[in-house]
Formats: sequence, C-alpha cells, structure tokens
Amino acid sequence: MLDRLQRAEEYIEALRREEVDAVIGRENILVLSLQKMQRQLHLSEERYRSIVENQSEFVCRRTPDGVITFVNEAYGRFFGHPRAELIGRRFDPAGIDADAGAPGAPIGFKGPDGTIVPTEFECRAVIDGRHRWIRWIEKAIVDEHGQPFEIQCVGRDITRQKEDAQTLQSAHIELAATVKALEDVNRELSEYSAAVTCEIKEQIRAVLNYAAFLHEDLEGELKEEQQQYLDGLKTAASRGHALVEDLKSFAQVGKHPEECEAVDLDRLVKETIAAQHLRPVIDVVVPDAWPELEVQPTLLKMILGQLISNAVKFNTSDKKRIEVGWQHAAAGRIEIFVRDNGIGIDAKLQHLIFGIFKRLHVESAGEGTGIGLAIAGKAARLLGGTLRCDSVPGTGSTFTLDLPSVMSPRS
Amino acid sequence: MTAGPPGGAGEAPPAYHLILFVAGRERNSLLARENLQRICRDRLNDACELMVVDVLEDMTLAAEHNILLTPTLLVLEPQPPVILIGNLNDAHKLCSALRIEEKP
Repeated sequence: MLDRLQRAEEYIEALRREEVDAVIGRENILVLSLQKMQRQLHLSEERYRSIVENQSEFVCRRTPDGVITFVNEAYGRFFGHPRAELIGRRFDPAGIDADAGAPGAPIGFKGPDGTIVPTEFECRAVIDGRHRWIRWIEKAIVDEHGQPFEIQCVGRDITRQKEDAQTLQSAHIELAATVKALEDVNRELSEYSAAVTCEIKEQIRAVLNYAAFLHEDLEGELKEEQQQYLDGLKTAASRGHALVEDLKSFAQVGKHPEECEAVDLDRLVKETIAAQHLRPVIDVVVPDAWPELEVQPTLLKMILGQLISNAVKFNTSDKKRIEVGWQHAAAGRIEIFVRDNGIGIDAKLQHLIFGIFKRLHVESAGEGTGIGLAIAGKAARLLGGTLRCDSVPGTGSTFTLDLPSVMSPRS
Repeated sequence: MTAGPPGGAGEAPPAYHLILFVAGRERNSLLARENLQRICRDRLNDACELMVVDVLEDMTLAAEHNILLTPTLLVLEPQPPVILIGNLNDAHKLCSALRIEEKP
C-alpha cells in the first residue's frame, strides 16, 4: 500500500515537472504534450466561457438536489439578482414563484440506447410584476458510474412567442366568428333575394295577366293611343320579368361550385357554337388544335356562349364573321378570345359593358336585359381569370378571357 | 536498441540490467535516452544491458511491469529493482537509482 502511495506521489511529481510524455492506459496510450494540452484546455475554457456568457439564454448548473453552483450573466439579469447572490441558493425554474408547468421525465432519465435524455418543459414566472414564459432544457451530467453529479439547465424567454401565439389564436377565433357571420348574412341575402324575386315575378305575372285580360276584353274598342299604352304596359312587364330572371341567373353563377377537370377545349368550343344554332351564312373560324385545360367546364361554356351570342347580335355586317381562338400568355396563362366584325364599342364606354343591365346599343340589341357580360365577367372571376374587351367602333370587337389554368398541351 | 555485446563464455555477466520505457520521439523520451546512454558510456563503461522499449510500438512489457507513464527507467539489476520516472535530467536521482556516486 505504501509502495503504491509512494509510486502515485512520484507520478504526480513527474507530471508536475512536465517530464511525462505519455500515459499508458489499459488498452491505449495517451501521448501528452503537456504545454499544448494546457494551452488547448485554456482555449477551450475561454471558448466555453465566451459562449456561456455571451448568449441570451440563461445557463445554470446545480447539484442533483437543487443547489446552484453556477449561473451565467443572462440568468442573473433575467431573474434580477447579482450572480454571486444566486450561488448556493436553491434552483427554481420559475425564479420566484413556481407556477404552471411541471417538469416531464425525471432528470437523468436514460433513453433506450443508454444516453441521457434532456428534459424540456415550460413554466411561467412573475418577474417585475409581469408574467414571463420560460422554456427550460435540463440535462444531467453523469460520472463514470452513470450517476448524475450536476444538472445543467438552459432556459429561454419565450414570452414573446407565447403572447404571439395567444394573439394569433384570438385572431383565429375572431376570424372564424366573422366568417360565420358572413356566411349567415350571405345565406340570408340569398334567401331574401330568392323570396323577393319570387314575389316580384308573381306581381309582374299578375300585371301581364291583367294586361292580357284587358287586351282580350277591349280588343277593337281601344283608341290607338290607348292601345299603345296597353302594349307598353305588356312590354314593360315582360321586360321586368326578364330582368328578374336574369338577376336570379347572375346570383346563381358559381353558387354550386364545380370541380376543375381536364377539358378538351376543341370539343367544348364546338359544342358551345353548336348550341347557339347559328345560321350557316355566319362565318365561324376556329383553330385546328386546342390545348387540354384544367377548368370548370360549365362556367367556361357560359362565358364563351355569351361572347359568341354577342358577336352575332351586335353585328350588322353583310357577312358576319366570328373567330374563336387561343394563345399562350405570360406566366403560364392562356388567353381564349372571341373576335367579331360587328359594330364595335366606343372606347369611352367600354368600361360600362360589364355592368349589370348596361345596354349600349338598345336599338340593335333587340331582346336582352344587358346582364350577359356581367354574368360572363363574374364567371371569369370565378375561374380565377379576367375578361377584357378591345374594340374599334365600326370594325369589330375582341373579347379576351385570360385564365391561370394548368395546361397539358396536346400532342 | 540494446547496448553492449552479451557476455561471452567465462566473462562476468553485466552488472546492470536496465529497461527504459519511452514514447517514440517525444521530447522527454529523447532526453531520457540521451541521459541514460551518456551515463552508461561514461560511468558504467557500457557494462550494462540496456533495453529501450517504445510503448507506442509495443506496450506489453510496460503492462507486465505496471509502467504507467513514460519515460520510465526500470533498474532490474542490481537488486532491488528501482523505478525512476521522468527525463533523467536530474543526475543525482539517476546516480542514486544506479547506486553509483555522483561525479563532482
């Protein structure tokens, strides 16, 4: 025993004199370059100190039974105590009052592969009268027997995130309430407008009926002027009826959302044209090839149908010509256009045409309430696109539908 | 490296049996070798069996003799065995380990 003690003393002495090159372990040899090691150790200490001191997170080390052995500057600052005062005191994650939030697994909890699993938890503290939230990560530092001899705790002030999260949550709740309120209003308006149009149509029908009765009873007995009044009455009532119907159609556009599907535009355009029952004398030009488009077909048909119908209606040429075509547009968009050689639209009035019940050419338009382009415009918006008009009075108009849809070009 | 030819028939066996454990060409190991070789030459007239063991190449002998640090000088003969740890710069300690008088 004495020999061993003496030997140990000699070892220590030799190390102290820096006369040792290597230490022989059971399985390997550690070559010491003592000066270099001391320098490296010093640098490591400096680096550690710098990291611990210069960060905004609170670092604390304590014994397993909770006595603080070290705190960094940030810790002292946050909890409002000089660092020296905190050494030797009991660690409390909430600093002053322990509040909501309890640690999870016990400190020194060993994971399945034998490594120490850090514990994370949040707690609330009252600092200077203000509630603050802290997230702690605690990890046991164990000796060679796996026994914890120190606990390292790193904390971060997450008050801001918590407050933001709460604000966000409140905003969400408010938003949900607003959305619900809007949905309720929408539904009410819808029901109201349905009821109103129904009522109005009833009244108008009644007017038309009475006008018809008068016409029957008084036929041949009316003066020319009186006949004109009666005819005017019937016309106005009919028009009112048509207006209400169209208003209902406008409201209905997009009410029952349609799924996007891959549409063969060649077929869709041909079907739309066929549905117009155009006279053979009208020239209709379509391209040979159309791309396939991901789109809601009913809405697209509605728009094209309206544009083609207008192209025929507002056209006094001897040889009416309608061209339907398409082209690529910027940023992967597509433009589908309907071009005519009709009467055209004055530039100053072009912005009016998409309004509800806006009719610019009453004489040549014949029937129609002026809601067609409003419906087409609304449908275009529902497709995520826009509808625009380029026109020269006396030459013709081109209506262009710009769509953002995904295209799969036909081979 | 061993110094000194083995004793032939009829000659007295070497008075000294020394093993120096070193770690490659580390500073203290080189110093220890120099110091020991000088004293063997000057004071022992090379009448010693000196074995230098590089633990970086083979540590079994060090393990057998429970050597923990290098450089370490193990004086096996004359008995009793003596261990001297360090670079052997201290002439007094070295002479003492070898049981020779320090030269003035």
